[in-house]
Amino acid sequence: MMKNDKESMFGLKGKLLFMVGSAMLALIGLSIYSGYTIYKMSDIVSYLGKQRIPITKELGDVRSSSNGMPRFMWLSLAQAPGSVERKKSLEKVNSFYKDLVDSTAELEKYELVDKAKEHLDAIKAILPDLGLVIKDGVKLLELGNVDQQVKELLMIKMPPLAVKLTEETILMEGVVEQKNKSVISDSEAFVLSSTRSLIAISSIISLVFGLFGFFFATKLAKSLTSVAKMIADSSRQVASASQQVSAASHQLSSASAEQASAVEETSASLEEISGMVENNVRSAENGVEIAESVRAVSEKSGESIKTLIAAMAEVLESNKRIENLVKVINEIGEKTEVIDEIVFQTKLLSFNASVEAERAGEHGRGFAVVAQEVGNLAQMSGKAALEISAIVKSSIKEAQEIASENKKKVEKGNEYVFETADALNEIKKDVDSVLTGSRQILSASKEQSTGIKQINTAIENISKATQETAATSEESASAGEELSGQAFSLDKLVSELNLIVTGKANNGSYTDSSDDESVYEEKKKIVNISHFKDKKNQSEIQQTQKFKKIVGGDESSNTGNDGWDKL
Amino acid sequence: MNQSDEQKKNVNSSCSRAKKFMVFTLEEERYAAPLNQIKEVIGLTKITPLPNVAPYFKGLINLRGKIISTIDLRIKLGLKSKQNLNKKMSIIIAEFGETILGCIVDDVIEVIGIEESQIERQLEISSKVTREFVIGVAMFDVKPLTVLLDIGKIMNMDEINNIQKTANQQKAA
Repeated sequence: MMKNDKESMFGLKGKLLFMVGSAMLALIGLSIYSGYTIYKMSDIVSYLGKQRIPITKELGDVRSSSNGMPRFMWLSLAQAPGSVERKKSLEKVNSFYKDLVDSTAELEKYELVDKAKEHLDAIKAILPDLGLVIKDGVKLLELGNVDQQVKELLMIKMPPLAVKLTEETILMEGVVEQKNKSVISDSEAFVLSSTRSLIAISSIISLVFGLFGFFFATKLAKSLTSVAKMIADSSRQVASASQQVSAASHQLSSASAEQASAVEETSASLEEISGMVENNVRSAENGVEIAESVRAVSEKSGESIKTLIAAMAEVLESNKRIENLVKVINEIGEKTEVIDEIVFQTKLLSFNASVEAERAGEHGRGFAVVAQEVGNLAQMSGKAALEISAIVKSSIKEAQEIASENKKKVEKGNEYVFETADALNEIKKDVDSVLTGSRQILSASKEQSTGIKQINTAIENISKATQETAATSEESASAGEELSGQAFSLDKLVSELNLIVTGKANNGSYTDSSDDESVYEEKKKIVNISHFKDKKNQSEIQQTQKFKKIVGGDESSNTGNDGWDKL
Repeated sequence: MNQSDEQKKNVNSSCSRAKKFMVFTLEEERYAAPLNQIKEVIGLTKITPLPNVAPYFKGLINLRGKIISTIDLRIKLGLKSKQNLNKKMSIIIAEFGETILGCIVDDVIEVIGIEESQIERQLEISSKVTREFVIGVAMFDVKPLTVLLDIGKIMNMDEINNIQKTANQQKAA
């Protein structure tokens, strides 16, 4: 039902507004029409009063005047000349004439039919002649002694004029009367038709709105019943939900207590962390200092390494000198070989000398000795040469060994130096990275410090919030209980609503009334009864207002109230 | 100096009664040959080998226009030759009558006078050297034993003569 209402173009409020609005529009139309009819009637009446009646009256005046003038003229003739009576009669004639002239002038002012106008013109045409006749007649009659003239005037001149005047007047009267009659019959017809149409229109409107009202009331009652059922369902759900809310609030309360202790722990931990961060900051500062000093040292070491490399190069250079020396020694060796050769030859020579001396026999004895000596010298030289050769060989060997060792050592040293240089470079790099890292740590720690301060304030806020949560959870626990009570009052309201809507006192939500009672009682035990009672009236009022809002859209709007009253 | 004194003494003694020998080494052992059998000593020179001869016959040398047959004394004496010919070696030119022969020795050490009393001729135990070439063994106070060789006997051998002849024939041819 609700769904359909929602889907339809207008809601309940819209429909009611539409109905009432259209009824009002119809009423307004009807009253306008009635007003118009009355206005028209008054128009007719005023026309009658302002035009037709005065015209008739003036015409009557004209007639009485036109009748009166000759009559009093004749009467004055009959009266004694110069008498007071004649004077009076003549005055009357004059006043009649005056009246006649005034009446005709007056008649001119009113709306007249063409025919009446013609007659009036005819009357007006007669008036000057009649005026002269009357003037002369009155003059003569006042003098009282010119009977012949008077008689001629009264007998000959006046009668045709008077007759004509009377005829015209009568004719005009006829025309006017005819007109009057037609006006009255027209107005009568108008009144009759207006009355009929008014009756017809009002009866149609009543019928239409009666039907519409009946249809709408049925539909409204249906939808309200279903709404009431849904509200009842909702109230049951609210009741269970409120219990859950209550339980949840209790849990929340205990949880917030735990949270409070946790927050305290967190606060303590945070203080520790703060101390740690301060330590961090100090350490990072130390680290930066150390890293800077290490960098300086490594730079110095780099320079030392450079000088060391140069020294190594010098060692290599001196190694080359050693190699040169080896060459020199080699040359010495070569020279020694030559000596060796010479020694060998000398030895052989000395032996040959010995041989020759032996051959010479006794004569060669002395020579043999010399040869022996030479041989000995050669032997000694040979030994010396051998020794030199050995020394040279060992020297060369040693020098070569030294050179090669030097070379190896220098090469190794170079390797070490380069390795050291690389290591130093790496150390430098590492130190740089350590430095940047330490600086970053420093700034990060400082940021951490501010962050911790922020966290501190946040934790304070959390603490406050926790306290608030605890309070709120208690409140919500009581609110849940209250809600439970409200659910029951809502249930009652639903039954009342059903009573209002259907006229039967059955509960919309609970199919079994005995069950409902038991449940109701059960729930009553659960909720705080006093609280419930305290809040009962207020809640009822609220519920009613809410319901009114649902039905009428606006509780203050008259149409809503009207609709409610009607229901 | 002591050594030279001793040598002087030896020389002096040899002047009176001692017979002169030339001492040389073969495979580290001391040998000696009578100085009167030796014509001269030269360093190792170019040796021209001959085909189809005994292994100890090394070939011919040209000594101042004279063609001289040369043998390896180590192989001739049946010593196991450890080393090939080298520059330090010498050739002892021996002369016995008409025959001249070059003997390759490892090294010539000295010329020494040896008295008869120092020579032991009765040798029961033969060394590696064939007994017929050995005169005896000389004993010294400080120096090791020295084997005394008779080069003349080596040179008298038929083989050598034949070779000599062959060489001469070849030379003549």
